[in-house]
Amino acid sequence: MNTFFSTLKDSRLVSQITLLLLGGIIVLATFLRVYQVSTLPPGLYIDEVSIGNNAFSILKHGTDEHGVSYPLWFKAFGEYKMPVYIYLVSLCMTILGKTELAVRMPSILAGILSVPLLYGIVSLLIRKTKQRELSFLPLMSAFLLAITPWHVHFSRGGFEATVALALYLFSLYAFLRYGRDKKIRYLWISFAVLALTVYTYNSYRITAVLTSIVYLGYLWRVMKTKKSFFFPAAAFLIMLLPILIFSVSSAGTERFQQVSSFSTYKNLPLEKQLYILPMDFLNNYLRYFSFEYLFAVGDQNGRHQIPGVGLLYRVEFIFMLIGLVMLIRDKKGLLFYLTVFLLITAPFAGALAIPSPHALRSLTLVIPLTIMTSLGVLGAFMLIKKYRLLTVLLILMTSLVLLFEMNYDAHLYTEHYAKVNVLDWGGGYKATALEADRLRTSHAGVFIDRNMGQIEPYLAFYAPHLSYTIVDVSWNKPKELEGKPVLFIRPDYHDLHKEHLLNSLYLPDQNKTIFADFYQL
Amino acid sequence: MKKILLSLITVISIGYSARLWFVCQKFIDQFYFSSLDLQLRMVEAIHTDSQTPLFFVRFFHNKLTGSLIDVFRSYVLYYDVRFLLSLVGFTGFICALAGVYYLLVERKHKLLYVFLMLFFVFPFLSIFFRSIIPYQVWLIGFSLIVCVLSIYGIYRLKWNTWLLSVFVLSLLVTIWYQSMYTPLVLRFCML
Repeated sequence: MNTFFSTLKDSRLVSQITLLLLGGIIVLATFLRVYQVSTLPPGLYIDEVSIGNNAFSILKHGTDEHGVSYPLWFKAFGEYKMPVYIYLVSLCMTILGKTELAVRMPSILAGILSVPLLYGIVSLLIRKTKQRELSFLPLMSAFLLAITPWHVHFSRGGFEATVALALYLFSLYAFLRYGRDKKIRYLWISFAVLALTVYTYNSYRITAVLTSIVYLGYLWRVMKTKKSFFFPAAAFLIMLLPILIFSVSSAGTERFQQVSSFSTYKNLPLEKQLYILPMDFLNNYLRYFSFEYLFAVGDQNGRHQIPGVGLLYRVEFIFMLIGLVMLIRDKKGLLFYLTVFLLITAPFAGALAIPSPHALRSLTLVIPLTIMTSLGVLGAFMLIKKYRLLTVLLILMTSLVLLFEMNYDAHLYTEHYAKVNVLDWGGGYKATALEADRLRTSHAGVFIDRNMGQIEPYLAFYAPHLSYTIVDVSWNKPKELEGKPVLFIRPDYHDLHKEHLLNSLYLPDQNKTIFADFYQL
Repeated sequence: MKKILLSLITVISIGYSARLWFVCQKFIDQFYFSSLDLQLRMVEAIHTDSQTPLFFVRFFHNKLTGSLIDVFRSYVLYYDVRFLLSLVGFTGFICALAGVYYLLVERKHKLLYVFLMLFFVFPFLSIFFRSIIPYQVWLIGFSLIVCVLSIYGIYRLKWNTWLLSVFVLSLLVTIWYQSMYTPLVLRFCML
């Protein structure tokens, strides 16, 4: 191992091999995020459809679904969505059209970009280190982020959090570049992109503010002339003004009211709230550091991970612990401060809300955990590098277990997920909309039972030309349509005699559940 | 003298936290390995894989893989931050962490490695042998191991005003956490 390191030392080969390896990692990251992405996860979930409809409306008419021209906040299902992701989807739709791929494309690209960004960040963090082995840390971090189930999964769905994370990483990278090169343009970029994260995903309202405080604290200490960072910081605050105003409005607090863990206690007397609320926050916060949550079962939301599989690979567990010990032992330098800062602040926003833990709201946590695990991997090899046989064995064992886990997860994802979690991803709404669209020409009208749930956004996405009427269960065919065939779509009520049934739409699950019945009346 | 006093306070705080656990009959099921659960999960997984080639079904869903996954899940539960906090309190937890850290990094006091080893091996014994030894024995055993590690942590830490403040704060939080938040114990044990 030592000979290997010394051969590479001071050689131009190092940078070429590093670049080659990074390229390979990016290719791997791309493959894991792109493979069958239109159909896996199995269908668009309700928020993705809403994003798609708004993005398409912006592209075609310059307004959102509700007719508001180029809005900063998009009204959707009792909350307001942040604008960045929707406008990005709109951009993707100019090339890809109104497709599932277009809705997921910003997230996919952000997921892929996060890998080289993390590489860049870790490279800047360790640039002053004298330990040769640590020079592999950026590559190891990039590799682990590329394959981490937590990050891969959220990169494959239309999740705003993935884009927000990539922007956040970009802001950190620019800030670290400023620290190295002292060029003020990096500071501008860093603050501007940090402000943009707030307009991408709700959790960053807290994360970005905490980060900006750290940025300012650092700048206050290191900069001789305070006014040089005054303008970027002021610009950051100005950029945040709209969201600050929005956040205190009733519309802005609506989402927080819905998901706040504190709303459960709002009827308690103030003195009780004073000792319960901090404890509730602490309790929620600690859940994010549960090994069971991270490595075994995740947050148990079918949309957030494959059931029975954690957010990280199990084999990472031991390396993460070694990494933590190493981090504390060498507690000097930027690597320590940034990792600990991210570790502490990442779950803050999630801990304020329910359900907790929430894998999506705490996606930022994947970064410090990945850095720690990478540090642990290198640390383990540094510990045993004298014993060649042991080193070979460790590499072999770790690779084998990792390979098995990757294949196991891939198997569950491709074979089980689409069957078991189909309802988490829109169920049979897409198929229902397409079937209704196919049958509309041969019918005088289309009527849909109210109990079909959230079908309307799906109809708007997949069958925009379909005109239909939502009716109650007790609906009867109107007299003016007597003699003309009409299509009636309803859930399966387990009727014994299904007269006039055209066809039934089955879910791809094991029980062959009927999702919708199509009647010709 | 200061360290003896701090150790004493820590042991009392651990006892104060652990007392809540004696109302329980056993840990929740996830703490133990169950071959029946495993069998049911296997059946469900194989059923879902009805159209997958048999080789892959057997490769991914077999008792060896399933057991390893289940044991891993139970094992990490013993190191769940909230479980340890509700078992030994914040003070015990922080000091025990310091103890484990110093044992791993400094590699002194070989005798204490027995406790470190027990700390990591103990859950395995509990996972497999729950029916042989009563729950209370596991509880007392695990608390004692953490107790020893936390006392070691107290002896190794270089106490200054800042650390003492953290210690006092952790004591206050322990009292607060344990007196106001009893239901947390019920997340991990059965009455």
